Amino acid sequence: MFGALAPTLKKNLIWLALLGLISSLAACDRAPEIGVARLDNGLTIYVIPHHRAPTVTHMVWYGVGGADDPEGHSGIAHLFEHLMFKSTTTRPDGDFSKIIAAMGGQDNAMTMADLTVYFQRVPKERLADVMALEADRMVNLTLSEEDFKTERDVVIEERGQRVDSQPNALAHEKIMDQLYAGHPYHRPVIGWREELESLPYEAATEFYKAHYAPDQAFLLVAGDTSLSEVVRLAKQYYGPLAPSGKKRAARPTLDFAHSTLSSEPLDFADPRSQQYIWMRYYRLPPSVDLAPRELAALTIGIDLLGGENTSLLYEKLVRGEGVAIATGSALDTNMRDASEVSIYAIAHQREGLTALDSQVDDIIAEAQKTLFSPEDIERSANKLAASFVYEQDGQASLAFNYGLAIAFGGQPDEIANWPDYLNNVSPADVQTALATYLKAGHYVTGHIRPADGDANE
Amino acid sequence: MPSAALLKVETVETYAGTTAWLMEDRTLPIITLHFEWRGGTAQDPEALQGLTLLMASLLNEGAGAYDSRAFQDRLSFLGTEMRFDADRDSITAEIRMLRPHRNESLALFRSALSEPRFDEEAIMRMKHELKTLIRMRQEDPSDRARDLWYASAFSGHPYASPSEGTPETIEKISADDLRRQHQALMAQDNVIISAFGDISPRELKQVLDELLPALAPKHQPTPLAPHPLQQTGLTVEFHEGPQSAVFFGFPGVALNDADFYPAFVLNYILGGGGFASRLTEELREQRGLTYSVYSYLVDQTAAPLWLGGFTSDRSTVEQALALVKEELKKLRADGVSETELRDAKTYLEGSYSLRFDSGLSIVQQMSFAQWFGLPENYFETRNQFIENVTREAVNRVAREHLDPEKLLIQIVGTPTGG
Repeated sequence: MFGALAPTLKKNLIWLALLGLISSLAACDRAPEIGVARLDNGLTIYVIPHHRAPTVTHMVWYGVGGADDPEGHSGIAHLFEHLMFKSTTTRPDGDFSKIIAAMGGQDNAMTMADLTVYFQRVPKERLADVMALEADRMVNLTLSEEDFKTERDVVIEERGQRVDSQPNALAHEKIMDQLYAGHPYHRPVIGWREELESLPYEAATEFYKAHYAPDQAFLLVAGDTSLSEVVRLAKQYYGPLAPSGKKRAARPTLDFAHSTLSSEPLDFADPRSQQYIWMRYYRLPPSVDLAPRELAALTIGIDLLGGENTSLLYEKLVRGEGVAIATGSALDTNMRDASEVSIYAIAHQREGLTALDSQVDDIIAEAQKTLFSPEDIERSANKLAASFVYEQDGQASLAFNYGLAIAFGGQPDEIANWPDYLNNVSPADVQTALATYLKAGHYVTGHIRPADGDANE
Repeated sequence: MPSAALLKVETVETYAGTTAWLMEDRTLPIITLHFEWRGGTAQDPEALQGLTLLMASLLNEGAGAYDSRAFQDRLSFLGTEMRFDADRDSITAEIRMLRPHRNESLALFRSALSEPRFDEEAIMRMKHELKTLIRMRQEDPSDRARDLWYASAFSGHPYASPSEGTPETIEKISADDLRRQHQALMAQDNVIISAFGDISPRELKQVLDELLPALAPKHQPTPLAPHPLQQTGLTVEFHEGPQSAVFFGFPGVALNDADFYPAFVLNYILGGGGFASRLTEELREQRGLTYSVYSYLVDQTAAPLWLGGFTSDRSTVEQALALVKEELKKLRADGVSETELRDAKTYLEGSYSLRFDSGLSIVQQMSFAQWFGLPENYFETRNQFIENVTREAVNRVAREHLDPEKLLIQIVGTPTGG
């Protein structure tokens, strides 16, 4: 099969922590020992040892994201992330990334719905330097109006490249708008184009004051260092910063109990589209609300349903003279207020799109009523447990995956136990998870197709 | 300084005379292998373009006694990842396994290499996937721009065709064609092998001595003519939407050329260095005309190339392109400053060990070095090559190469004028 079409299954790693130790497991299931500490100003610190290269990955994770954009100001959290690279009172030239490059380091940042993470990968001797830089921009950003306007243009360009020139991305935005109606997740993190174009400068200064403080973030350092070294430096650079004392704003709750969404598929006809793509998104309770065993069962269930080419969807819809060319499914748990299951299929032609509505329903119903075999479960669990090990093979991947796990909560001592949970899922567990969480009235379906509607096959 | 242990390569001689590169690391029970064969999709007969990529895609779609479903079930069960791919110049195989499951994983790998089934059902499915890939690339303006650029730059040469071929040529490919291409291109004498992780040299030798006989002894390539880039000019293909994609290129510098390191450093300053680059500074930081602009060197078998691209709103794309040309002119006329050179070296040397992160990224580094015939101590000496680059050499390379008149440019979109 082609790598380019392989669906990605996002794994959930529940967070590991508490001071010092995680007992090591069987040879295949080792997870690194994570060190944890907390500064008086509320900044929690996680340190993951990784000694392959004399480098460190230094990450500051703020608990704010696109979902915190004020109504009418969609895109401000992400635009603000761009502004964090500009001038501060101590660095008026505003050349954050150039400074990192001059250290022989790489840096970047990412904004999601509930998180904004800033990170650098540098030689280990530079850990103090990057802490100084992050601590500085946490509180000393100058925020000029000129920089704001230029970056607003850059973000509009980014939107143009990533979204407005991509029919699939445009369809996804409209699906999310319905799936999360009434909740901030309905807006794109990048922001609606019209709102971006009129975003006022004051939105940035207000955002900074509201969300950037040491007690609204955590620090994660992975690499060739130790807990004591990181804590010593963190006390020096982050320690003096004052906490905000703010609590997270309340969010509207999503109703996972009642069926409120129409099952009528949304139709997206775009003259630029050359494919017939069927997609469906389910909204589920956030992963913290699921017991680890239930989450493991759901993860395996979604994998067996559409995870790879050994899945039920691929078997029924693609193999043999199938109605589809490719299928996939994924479970996304990287949000505070919800989890999301996505399913897609690329159909041969337009008629195939409509047929998929009932065909996929039938396949899901089958998975909910008929037990997967113990061999199926074992196969999926093995693959996912192996991925857990592969994700530790590389400092960047290790740091990022553990950061996500920590950010989205869960039971503290559970991360290292994840493979055990996977290995103890029963067919009945999977059946229950799929029946509980893939329900009518809790999803939105979309059909993406060429505007002229003729088959390309 | 990068640690010596990290960059130390051990070589393993196989019975066939092939030398494999190995870096041992016992931290995790993972073994990663990377095989790369010289000769890729540019080897496709013109009437059967897409053949090599289709063949590669089928290697994990059934082998020996296992049909596609059974083969992939077995891989999942073992937690083993096995991927095959191809580009114009090479075919690659990458396999990552947990050490306790190495015996069966390697047996499956051997089977995929020696007895792929090319079942009709799998061929039909992979043909559909390949046609879908073609449509995906046509939908994306940046991908489309790049494909059109190659078609223009290499008109009449195999590089003109994208690796995927066309729906018409794909349709004509038979199981026999696939078998023949597999035999012809994936042999013992044109393979480059790299390994990382929980395996010793002695063990790797045993593994390779068992694996290599799975391949034909000698490859049978079609000679690929060199095709230095000579085409220049600008072409626009209409594509709806607010954003236009630009892909540009001019003749590059081969890796084994004496001017390569000066060119490499120059490219970092021009557009390879992200926020440290001139193009990002002028187009993005100063004027907000683009989200991403980049340039890079690539030493393809038939031609060394200097390439780059960006996207911009239709109303600003021509202004952005004018700025790119302006930067080329400036660098050509005035060269780089001492500070720019010093900063470039600091970054390139200091960040080198960041490339050696995961097993996958490390085997790719080893394969790259072997591909260009670099010695096994290359990783330990590479920074010295960067350090030795003089400002004089960089500026001379700029004068000789950075000429806006030499640009071949492809735009996909609706440029309306600045």
